[in-house]
Amino acid sequence: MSTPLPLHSVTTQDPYPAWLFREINLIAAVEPSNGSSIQPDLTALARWLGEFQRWQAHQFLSEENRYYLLLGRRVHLQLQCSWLEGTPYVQQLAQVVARTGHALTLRMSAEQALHPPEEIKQLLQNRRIQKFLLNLPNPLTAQLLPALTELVELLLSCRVMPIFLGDMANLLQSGLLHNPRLNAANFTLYPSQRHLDFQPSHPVDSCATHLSWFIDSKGDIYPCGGLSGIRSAQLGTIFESAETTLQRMANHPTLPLQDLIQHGPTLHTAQKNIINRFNIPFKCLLHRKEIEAAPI
Amino acid sequence: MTLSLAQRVTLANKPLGFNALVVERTSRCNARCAICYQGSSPQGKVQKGKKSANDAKDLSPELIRRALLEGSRLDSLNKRFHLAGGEAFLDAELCLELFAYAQSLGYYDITTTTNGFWAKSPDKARILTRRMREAGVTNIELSTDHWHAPFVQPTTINNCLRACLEAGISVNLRLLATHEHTHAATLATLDPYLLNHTTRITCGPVFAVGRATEQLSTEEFFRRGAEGRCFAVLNLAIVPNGNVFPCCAGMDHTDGLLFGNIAEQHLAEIVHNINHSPLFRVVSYAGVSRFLQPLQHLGYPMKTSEEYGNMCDLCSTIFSNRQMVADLSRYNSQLEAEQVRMAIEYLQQSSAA
Repeated sequence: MSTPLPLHSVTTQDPYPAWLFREINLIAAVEPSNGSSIQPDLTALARWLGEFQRWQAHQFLSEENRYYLLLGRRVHLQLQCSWLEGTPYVQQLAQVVARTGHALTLRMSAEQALHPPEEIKQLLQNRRIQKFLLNLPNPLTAQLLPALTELVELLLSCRVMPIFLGDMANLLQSGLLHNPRLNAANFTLYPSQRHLDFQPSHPVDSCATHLSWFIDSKGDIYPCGGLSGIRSAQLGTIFESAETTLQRMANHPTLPLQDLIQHGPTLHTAQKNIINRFNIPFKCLLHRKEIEAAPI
Repeated sequence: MTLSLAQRVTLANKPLGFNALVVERTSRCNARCAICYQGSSPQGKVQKGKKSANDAKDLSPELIRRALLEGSRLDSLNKRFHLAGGEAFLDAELCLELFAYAQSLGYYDITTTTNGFWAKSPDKARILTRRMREAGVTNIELSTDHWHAPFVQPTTINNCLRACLEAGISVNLRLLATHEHTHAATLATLDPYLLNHTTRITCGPVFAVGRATEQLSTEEFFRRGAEGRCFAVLNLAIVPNGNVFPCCAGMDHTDGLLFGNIAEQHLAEIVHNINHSPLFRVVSYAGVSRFLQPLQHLGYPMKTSEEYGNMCDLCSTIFSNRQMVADLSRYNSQLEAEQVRMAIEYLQQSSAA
């Protein structure tokens, strides 16, 4: 990007910051339509991230305190394939992420993450991956436990924070939490039932904490994982310039991002009553349905 | 500090951002936990049997409101307001008033840390969490572990978890462990159903800071080493005496490197000071362990990186010592000047060639 965007083109109303997407959520998967290679394309992603980074640095040097959080500081890769297919991709992404000054976190199913190859171990040892999210299977069988413990100990020895997503009763029963090395470390648990039976007294929360740059395996960019695949909610793609993405965000024809950040989705009254009895995923589901049903 | 000129240029170009405005409203707490990094007690901050001389007990509501207003206009601050203590809910009405004010200013993520002592009665817990939700609270960080348990029993924590679930407030359960007291042991004391419906459980080890240094034996602590960087987890923290720090994990209880006080300066000015502090930029982007070598060179008897509990432990050690910070600052300036001189020489030679 040769010249940075004029400030007024990406801001809406002070004093609120225009866009606060704290993370870049990247879904990488094998796409058979692309010769079974892992997508999205890393060359395009590197260019897109680089443009944003330069834009942001320019803002910092020229206009203090503005747009620091525009891009976020983490790239969160959800790898939906095995090490065999995904290792070169993770290696290259780690380089791209380090170059653009972001922190990299990785999320995989625990079964696929076991026994990482040497290349991945090296990335962990060099702290090129900051956090590692493991989706635990249910049940967490005794057969899986030794290899899982080995992986967790590897992460801890490399000072990479492990994060577990799964059933708490299952996890407690497994005995993993008695591991002395785990008790010596920082780690996070996300109980798998956390959204069930959750009954918000306020039906529609602000989306601020849920929004991110969500990049799917095609390279399409959305403001939220819950809206992925909906064309009218798309902000752009990594194959176009970052400037184009920013301009589209500022003047998005169908998505009131500022309202979503502050107040959450505006749902129909009848649905609000229904949603009062449900939880966050249901709320997102309804929002998605409304957008899909709306005329473009 | 073996940073190349190129690394220094990169450091200088990276803006610092803050995840939340954290207000540590009071140093008073109903509990007096042996592991409290702040050394809080019903009398305020007390360590080694003495009340800290330069520690104010409470930050005035007027100053908090002013900080909220000024913070709401800072683009580098994510609009999350986090109210902490001591135990902020010793004055629950004031907490509710501050949450509502933050909501009116456009903060969309309103969170708090508490030990949940107010949930002793399930009915009272329900009423307060409903009012918290109405005032805009989205999440509470609930501290519980072996050391909190004598002051706030697991039944009270269960009441709190249930009330938050019903009110639609998400909960981040915060646990600490040592060699002797594990996370599994704490979790076993809580209702499994509620545990499985908790939004998040954050686990960490107790470090040798604050009251833990005097109440726990050294064998109890875990040591993980001081490597690591913190640029992605910074918060703008205001402590009870009004000082503002870029962190709420230990540096906020030091006085070696001050950036400003909310009673005397605008928050934007303090953020500017933080962003232009060469030492803090090294801490956040390169890691505080970068200081070990120069400090050893300056004659300070520093331990090896691996011997520190974590990076916050080392950060807290360095920035609690004013002389050490002054020496480090001088050393850093000299190094920077030397590198600039070398760069100019290089450019002159290149252009001559």
